[in-house]
Amino acid sequence: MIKTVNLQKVFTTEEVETTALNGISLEIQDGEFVAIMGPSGCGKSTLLNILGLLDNPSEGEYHFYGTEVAKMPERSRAQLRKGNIGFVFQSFNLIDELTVFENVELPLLYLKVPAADRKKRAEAALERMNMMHRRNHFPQQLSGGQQQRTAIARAVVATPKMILADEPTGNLDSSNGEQVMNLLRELNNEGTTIVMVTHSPHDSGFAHRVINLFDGKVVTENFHV
Amino acid sequence: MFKHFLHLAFRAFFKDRTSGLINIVGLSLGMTGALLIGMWVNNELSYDRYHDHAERIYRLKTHIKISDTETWHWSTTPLKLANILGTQLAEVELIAQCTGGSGESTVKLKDQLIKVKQCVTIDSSWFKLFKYEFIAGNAHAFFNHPKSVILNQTTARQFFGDADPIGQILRVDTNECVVQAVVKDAPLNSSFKFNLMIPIALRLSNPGNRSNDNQWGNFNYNAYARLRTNTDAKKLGHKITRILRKEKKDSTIVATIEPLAEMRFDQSVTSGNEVTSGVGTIRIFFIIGLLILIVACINYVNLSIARTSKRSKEIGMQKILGASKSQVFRQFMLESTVMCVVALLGTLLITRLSMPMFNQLTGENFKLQLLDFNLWKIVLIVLGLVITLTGVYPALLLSSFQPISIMKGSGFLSKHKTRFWKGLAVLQFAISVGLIISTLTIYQQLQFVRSKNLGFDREHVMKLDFPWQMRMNQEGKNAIERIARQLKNSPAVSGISMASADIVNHGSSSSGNFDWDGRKENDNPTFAPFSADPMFQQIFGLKLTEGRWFKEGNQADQSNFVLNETAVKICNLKAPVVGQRFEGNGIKGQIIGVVKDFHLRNMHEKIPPVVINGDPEWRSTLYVKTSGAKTSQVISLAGSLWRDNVPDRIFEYQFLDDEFEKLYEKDQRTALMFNIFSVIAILISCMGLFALAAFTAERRTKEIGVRKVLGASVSGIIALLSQDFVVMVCIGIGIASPLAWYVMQSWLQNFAYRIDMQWWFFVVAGLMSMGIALITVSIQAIRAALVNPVESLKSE
Repeated sequence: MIKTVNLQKVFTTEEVETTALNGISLEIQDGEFVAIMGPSGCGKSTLLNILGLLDNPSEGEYHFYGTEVAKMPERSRAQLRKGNIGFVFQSFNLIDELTVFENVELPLLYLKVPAADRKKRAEAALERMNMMHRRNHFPQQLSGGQQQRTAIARAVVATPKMILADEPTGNLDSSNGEQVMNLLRELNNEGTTIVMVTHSPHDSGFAHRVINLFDGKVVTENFHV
Repeated sequence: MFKHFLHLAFRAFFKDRTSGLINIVGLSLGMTGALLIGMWVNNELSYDRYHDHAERIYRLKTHIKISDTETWHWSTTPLKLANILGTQLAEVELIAQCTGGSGESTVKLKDQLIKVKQCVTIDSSWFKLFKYEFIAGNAHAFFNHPKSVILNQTTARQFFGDADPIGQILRVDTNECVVQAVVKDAPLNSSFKFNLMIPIALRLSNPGNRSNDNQWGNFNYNAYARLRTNTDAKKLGHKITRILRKEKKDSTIVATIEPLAEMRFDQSVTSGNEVTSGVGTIRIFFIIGLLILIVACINYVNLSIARTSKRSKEIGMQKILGASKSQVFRQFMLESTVMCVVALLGTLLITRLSMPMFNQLTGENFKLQLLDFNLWKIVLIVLGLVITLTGVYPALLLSSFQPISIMKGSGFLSKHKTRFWKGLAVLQFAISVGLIISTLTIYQQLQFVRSKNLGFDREHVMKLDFPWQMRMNQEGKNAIERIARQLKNSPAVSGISMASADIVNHGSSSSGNFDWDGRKENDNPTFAPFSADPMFQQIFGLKLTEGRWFKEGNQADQSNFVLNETAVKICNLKAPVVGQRFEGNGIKGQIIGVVKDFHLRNMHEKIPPVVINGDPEWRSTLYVKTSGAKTSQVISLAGSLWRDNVPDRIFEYQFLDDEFEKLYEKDQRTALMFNIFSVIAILISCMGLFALAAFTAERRTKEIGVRKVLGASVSGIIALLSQDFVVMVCIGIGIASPLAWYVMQSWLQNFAYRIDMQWWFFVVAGLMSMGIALITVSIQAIRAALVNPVESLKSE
């Protein structure tokens, strides 16, 4: 489970200080599906970046599955991130020079998984996302929905404890978006913790719990059944 | 992992092929420059070191003090000295000699006359001292039978094709010689590139040569000695000096010894034909080679970074997905290495193609031998440098960012400091401008030299040189007269004249045996003396300022003199000059005229004091002036006359115009070199500018997008992007101009007769570089200005 205590994040440029997060304390249990909502500029993406070990908070504590990581240097965070967190982005962020298959096996490559094993697991993930028939294509040759499904395959191929999704349906039409949300729900049902940032009330309906942020603070928490 | 990196590398390259190719070509050019210079420097520095025990081999030099201000440095010694040194001095382990001199022979093979250059006469210790590889025959027979000759491989093949040369007979000058051996061609880094060798015994079998060479006043031989280990060279030099002074009965002459490996760089020696290089020149070129490589690498890095910025999302993603810093570093080092290896292939190709021109420039005969270990030594050094210089900085830069800063789009272009690169681009342009100015100056100076009035007519004049031996006997003299008369009578010939020297390139100097009224005791200036007949003045259109020229049929004129204006000044003769006593070179008579100064040497030298005498004894050069229309007729007439009267020598002739051009061969080479360097510098500067422009355009993508949305026109954007570069080029021009002026002024000082640098050299150079810069920059600027703002303003 992950827990934050009084997270602060301040961005400083030459003369200006911007407080993106102003005392965020929350807890997410294993297997939860949490949606983070709020207007633009409320600090959602910043929070997601910190939760995903992509950034350090300026102050506060972050306990990631028992390890205090708030002050960890990048190298250690990277180690922790590998294999434990999967990312799904609004703009997919697939690597254009790699095929679908190569994109999906990439996390396993960095985990030093042997080739035969990699092939098996990547193919399984692609099968699951219904992308096996396109495995030798390049991202430019795919539709938005297909790209996002590839990205999700990539996110789950290393069987991470947690998936962080930043507006996963933002660049998709309604039917593709529906498909993606269903996939996420399925993954959650199998035990993967999911933390999703979204603008869409419809999408947040898939989550167990919705955390509302405003101006860097938690304002309300709603529960769905 | 490796395969994965390779896949990425190739696909990333193909995505952006054009600029990738430009980048590789730029790097190849830089590497080619470095490789060629490296080869040349390596060759120069290794000259003559391949002989066994080369570090103990020394050359003898002699130094003769002519006057208080002038000392002649020779690499030649009297014949008898070597033997004396070999027996008297324990320090001398072995000593060998060869003849100095021009080294040309006429060889008669079957019925054909062939001129062979690089001929030499050697003594029996030669092959013990110097390393030779015998392909056929051996040296014993050569030294045991004086009428022998040894050829090098190329010459043997030229004469005999594939047939066995051993035992064949050649006539070398006047001797029938047997080919006793063939040696492998000397390596590129040898000062002894002899085509043909004959034994000293053969030369000395001629009584004239023998008595001549045995005189202590004749310094006709180069002597080389191998010394015992730990010999003090300076002390030995003193010992040799003492011996030489005693034998020659000369108390002022000095002898020294110099290491064989320094021979190539000794430019003080005035005798001999060894080609030398200046150490300073070698150092300069080494630095230039290094600079070319470094600049090419820096440009490559610049452009690489600009290109890679488009892959920032990919790099960020890799890191998020788990790539460690060292993995990203390795990925980009690998990409860089692959690019460098591809560039290397390009380099080898370009080097191969430019070999002929390179050989013309250096006067050597380099070959790109792929099996040569030495070549690969240089190549690998260059490649290693390049990979390090081009790979490390970008790899470090790219591997060190935080992934979210990339994802957020702030990118790493901001981290890449442009001030340094801008300074470098300015420097590159300054160098280009400087080189263009230099090229223009050199070109103008050579034009000046070519078109300057020499003070005599050199057009349509053919020159024939008779072998001096012909003047030694009456038969020869008659033959010369016959030829001259026949030519004179030909309708195509407008006049002939005999003289003792080459008017275009007068070679000899003389001092010490001249006298005139009013000469001070120690006043012994160096004169340029020669003898000319009565027709000489007319043929060449020489102008007299006083008196007259030699008259036909006037007996007394045979011991009279004509001086040039400079000679009159040097001798401090008071008017009237005509009628004053003068003597020189054994002739006593009076001055009958003063001729206006004319250029009888190249324009590097000031016109010397010239003394022309009327003595017909030593004239073996015939000048034939044609009307210009029937030149080929004259040539064939001269040819047939020659073959009838001089059967033992090849018929050769020169037109004075061509000889004149040859005077400036070295300068032509310098001009060619500057031309080439200018082109290279401009190319490299353009690459640099191209990279910088690409980089800047990439970095300002968002700004350009916003400006376009707000209403900026395409031409406005182009102007915006270009103005920075215009300023940079102007600064470059400002830096280069005074420096180029200073350097070129120094070069011009080499010429006694020179131009002044014109203001338009600088303007042309400036405009050229500005024009080229603008074209280069606008390619990128136009591309950037045409991008749809929607593309550049997309948020993440």
